[in-house]
Amino acid sequence: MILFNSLSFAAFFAIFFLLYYFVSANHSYKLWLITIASLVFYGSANWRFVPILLGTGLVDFYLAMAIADASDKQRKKRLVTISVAMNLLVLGFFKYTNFFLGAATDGLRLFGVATHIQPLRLIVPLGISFYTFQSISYTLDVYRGNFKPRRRLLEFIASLTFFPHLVAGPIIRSSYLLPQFETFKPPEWTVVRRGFLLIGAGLFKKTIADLLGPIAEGVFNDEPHSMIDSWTGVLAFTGQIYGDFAGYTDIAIGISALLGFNLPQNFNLPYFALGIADFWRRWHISLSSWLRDYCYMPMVLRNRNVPLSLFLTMTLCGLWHGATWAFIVFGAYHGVLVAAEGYLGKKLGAFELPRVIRALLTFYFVMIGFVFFRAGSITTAWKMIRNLHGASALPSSFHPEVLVGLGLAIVALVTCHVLDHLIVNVKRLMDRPLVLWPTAAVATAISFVLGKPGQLFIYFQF
Amino acid sequence: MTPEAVTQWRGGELPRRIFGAAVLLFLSALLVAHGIARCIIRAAPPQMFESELFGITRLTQILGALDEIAAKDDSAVLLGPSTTMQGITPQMFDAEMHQHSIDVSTYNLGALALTPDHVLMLSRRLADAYRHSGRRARAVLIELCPHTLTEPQTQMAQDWERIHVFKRARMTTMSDFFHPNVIEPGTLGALRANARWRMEIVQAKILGGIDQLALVNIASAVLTALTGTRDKPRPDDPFNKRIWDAAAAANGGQYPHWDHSTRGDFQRLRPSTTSDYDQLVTIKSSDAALQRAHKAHVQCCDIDELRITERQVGYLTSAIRTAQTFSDHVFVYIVPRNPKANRPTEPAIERVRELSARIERELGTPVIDLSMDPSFVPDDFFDLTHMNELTGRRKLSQKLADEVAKRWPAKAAPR
Repeated sequence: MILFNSLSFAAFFAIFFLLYYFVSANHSYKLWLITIASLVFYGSANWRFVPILLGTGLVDFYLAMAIADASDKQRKKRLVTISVAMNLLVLGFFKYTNFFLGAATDGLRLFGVATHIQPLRLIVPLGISFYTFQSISYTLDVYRGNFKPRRRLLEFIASLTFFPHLVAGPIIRSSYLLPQFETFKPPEWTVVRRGFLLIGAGLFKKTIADLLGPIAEGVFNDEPHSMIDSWTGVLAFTGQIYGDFAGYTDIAIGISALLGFNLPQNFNLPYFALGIADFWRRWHISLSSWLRDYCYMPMVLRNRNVPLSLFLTMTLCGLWHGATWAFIVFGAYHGVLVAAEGYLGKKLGAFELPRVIRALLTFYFVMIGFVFFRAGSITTAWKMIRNLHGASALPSSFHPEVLVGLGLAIVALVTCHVLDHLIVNVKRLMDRPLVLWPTAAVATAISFVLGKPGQLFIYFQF
Repeated sequence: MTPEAVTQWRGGELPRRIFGAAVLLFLSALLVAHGIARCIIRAAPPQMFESELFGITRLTQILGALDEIAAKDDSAVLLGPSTTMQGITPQMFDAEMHQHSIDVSTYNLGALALTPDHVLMLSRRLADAYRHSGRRARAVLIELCPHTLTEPQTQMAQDWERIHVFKRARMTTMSDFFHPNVIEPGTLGALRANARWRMEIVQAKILGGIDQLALVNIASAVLTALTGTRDKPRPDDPFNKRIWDAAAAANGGQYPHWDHSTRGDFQRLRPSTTSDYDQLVTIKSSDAALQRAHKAHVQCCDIDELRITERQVGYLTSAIRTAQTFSDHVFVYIVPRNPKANRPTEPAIERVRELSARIERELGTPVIDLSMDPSFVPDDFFDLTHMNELTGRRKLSQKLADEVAKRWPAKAAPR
């Protein structure tokens, strides 16, 4: 049921929408309905995750009130530290315990201490990285005085557990979403139309991602591959990860729009970025802006070292994605690139490469970064990078399967970006029902023809 | 109605409009999807659907022939995967049966990579055909192919699974889901047990039986046609190329599909291509080829361990039960396996033995197990699993007929 591209979700949403209509006159009923439906939605994956979600939410709700009510600054600081530490502990326990246990074992082995620590049998609660970040932002905003704590628990819980964004984002700050739960503004028809278009576009992108998945799958393994095969695989994964995540986000924004909620944009033509920093302003915007406001800014204000702060923030970004060295390298790699970009920008002054060259260079570096993201281990990633640059002994041959894969990956990337451009930048499209509805229908139809209902989304693992 | 006027939930106009838009969008998307699927199928090169890999053409032709088969008074049918298709010649089988004073006209409905769920579907289509004709089959012989009863979680198995969807889509009718009274409960249960499969079939039926694998294959077929490399193997695999060339020569350039006049006999061999066929067999039964085939079969079908799943057994038993509704006699048989390279483990053999005993016990259907029949030697095989058309096929056709005749109830013999 948690999969937006499944019939069971469609049925769930249809029933929810009907009930939402019936309770629309009563504010409290709507809050109850959203909360219960969201918990059912979340619990359908695993009911054992629900207490963790509710538990962290409840603690943060009361801590935020205590922070606002505290008269002295030290107490406020203590309380916000408790909130952040509690969230990070929960996140760390489920997501990173085994990683750190493994790292400790390896580290001790380096010093000749042979230990064997059994990994814990933990299941990472779905969406924990997303909702803990939302919770943290709430108490931090209250602590900073940017946002007044809410006194109605139900409103807070409803916004925290709101099912469209619960499992795979976007990461929405309470200061953005909570006010919408207080007013419950009905959507304007133009917003509804956009919502339908986004749902269609999201399904389409997910379909494209699932088409590209097997192509990438065939290349990301330990076997040697020719250069052309390797590029095909990496390009396919670059398209897959974008289609998968952006598709999910589009559907989340779309279904929220049908209910009258406005979720922030999470992608903005990322592969047209003109630099790595620009890429992170366009890719998973809700995460990068969260890290900017709650990690990078405090860090840089404290140590005044921009490159180091950038590097550490991006390494944390990598770690946020997953508890493997490959993800840490993915983050550190981007950290180095962003820092280097800033340094070079200062050195070169007004000199700039042509836009096309910059876009292509950025795309190249982004693809190399995704090798670490996809490979799962640094060894496999390194092999892949060597294959990409002609280190493989296998000669490249343009046999039909490779051409199809390569063509499909390129067409998919271009199509997804054109569709995004239409939705994001061509405002007139929203005012032209005769263009909008057929676009939505065709995008949905393609997902019907080529899509596989119920395929998992990559970002669910985070 | 202006947009401003419909911004309230309470009046009900906005939700109704959203619902209406959702329904209209869904229906129009469905319509467009159907059109896209049809266009793709029409534009696709016919070779794509004749691929040996899919085996769909033969299956489609078999489905088209069912009414004619069911219209005969003495028809018997063989159901099974390629081991049946390539293992038994109906005419040889019938001739041997005639020696035992049993006259039947047997049709070989075996097809490539037919798994028990496909056999169940085919069995149900046969039941429909016999019901319409008002007749009954004299006998249905269903192959118990142990390695099609497994479900290994490998990439290769998953790829095959995606291909299997096509066949299900070809063989299922929508009525399978909506008319429970025409099928017996076990079959319906087997159908309903797999929600994902049901969805795939409905999707394929509505949309015209196309999915992503088809698109990639169509695109590949178009590209190969354009680049002039059609029907050629990838150049980086000389071993495959040898097999490919030999097979093309033995087939006379044409892959054999269903032929109603020969009652579905699968003839790769032609008088003019005997030496080419010999050459093909030499390559396919070489140690290297057998090792390759064995490795592939371990990945796709767990051929060594044969971890049979209850789900597939359920399909098989449902197929047998369905056959019992329209046939005078039902037999299950296990074809010989190549003693040179196909050697399952002892527990695997025991699993098959237990299943055979269970079928005999629970369904009252005789199981003819020829898997370890000592009269079959490596030279009788074409490759790891299939019979040689020149040697083993005749032997199997006759041996199976003899065993069936032995079990044929005495009262029913003269007809």
